[in-house]
Amino acid sequence: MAELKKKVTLKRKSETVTAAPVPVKKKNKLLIPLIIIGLLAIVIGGYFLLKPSSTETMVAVDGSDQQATTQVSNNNPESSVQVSEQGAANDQTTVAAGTIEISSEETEAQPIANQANKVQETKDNQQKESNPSLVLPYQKGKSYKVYQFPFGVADYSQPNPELDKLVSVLKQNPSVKISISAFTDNVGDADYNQALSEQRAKAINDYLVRNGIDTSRLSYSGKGISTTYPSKAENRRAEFVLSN
Amino acid sequence: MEDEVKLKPKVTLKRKGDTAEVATFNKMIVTLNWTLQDVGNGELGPDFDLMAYYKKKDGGEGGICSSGYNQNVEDMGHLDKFPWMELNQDTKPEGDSKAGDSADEEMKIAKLDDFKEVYICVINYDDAIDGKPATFGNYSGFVSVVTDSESGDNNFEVPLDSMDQGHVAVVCKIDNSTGRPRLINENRVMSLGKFAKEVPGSKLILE
Repeated sequence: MAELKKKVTLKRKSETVTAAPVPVKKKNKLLIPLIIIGLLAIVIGGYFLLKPSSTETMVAVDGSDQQATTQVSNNNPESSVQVSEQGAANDQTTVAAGTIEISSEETEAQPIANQANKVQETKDNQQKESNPSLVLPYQKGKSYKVYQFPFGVADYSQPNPELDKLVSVLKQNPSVKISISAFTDNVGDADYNQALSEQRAKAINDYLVRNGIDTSRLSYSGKGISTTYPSKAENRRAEFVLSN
Repeated sequence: MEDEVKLKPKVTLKRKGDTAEVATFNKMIVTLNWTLQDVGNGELGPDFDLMAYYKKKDGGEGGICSSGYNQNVEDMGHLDKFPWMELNQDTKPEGDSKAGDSADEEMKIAKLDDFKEVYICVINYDDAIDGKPATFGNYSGFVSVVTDSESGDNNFEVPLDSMDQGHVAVVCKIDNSTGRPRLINENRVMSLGKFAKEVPGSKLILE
């Protein structure tokens, strides 16, 4: 009796991984790491060169002849502000980075604490201006494709260097907000694809949130069917634009 | 070629069975070229994938193909270690491509010493995955094989012109069973089932 042979089917491709370029020239294998190391050296070197070792500010208190000295030490990650007031030498104000904890009487120390905040802000601004790592690799108004979804799949399921790069850039640039859009190919009806695209957009949004990006910086929407690209696989994508 | 190599007059293996000797080389570049067409619904195609499958002298089998099938970049091979062949990335037509534009995929081969035979294959991915009838002969396709050899012919072409129906085309074979590699026009178009049965290493992309 004849027995049916097992049906042979083709594995379904997911183009996500294929985006990883295969190095062709040996010299490129060395060149890329060297460029990365060079850029890192510039970033780190620039940061330490331009970072002030300490900032000392004379702050007038209550407009009187009393003066306080505000000293911000940048050598410690938890910057501290020590305030000594003439005539009130025992009062001390401690300011931790990002938050203010006042150990002396708040009413008296408030103007000094405000000033300390200003010093901190100035320091942050100087750092932003001098640190080249904060230069955005993305242009405003331009869409960047960050992920291609396998057919019919809404989850973010595979590692993707573009998405990881986006996470890194967003972490380095806390003021940047993005808007995520996701699309489907044109297989299936419009309603199904609209829902699928929304799930895809949310999946990317959720991935970014899981990796520490605040939801207030993200917005997302499903755009349904796309025929922008000739290949279905390329249309099954998520992309983003800078939204601020 | 990356290095300056003067290509000799092209040798075209026009008919099935046509054979050419491949002189000693340090690098071989195999390129699949084809012309994009409107394949319906405003889409361009076909989505051809270039692949190579081999049978080793010790009986082992394997191949290189797009990493998308198994989500494994290793499937694209290596030029500086076994399998001494490497596929360029899976080419997709650019967003502004139009019907009539050419498309290509490329692989490089550094040496053939380990292999008894190497099959240069093409799959019509979209039609295979959708189960649609497909032919290869309508897209002005051909495979060019270029080497950096200066001692013999180094510029070959095998047309992809079979009108037989099937989802996989074995375009040509490099027969290295004697240690003196020969390039042979195969032009065998086949179903996935036949591909699984006849081409060593083909299970790489099959379930």
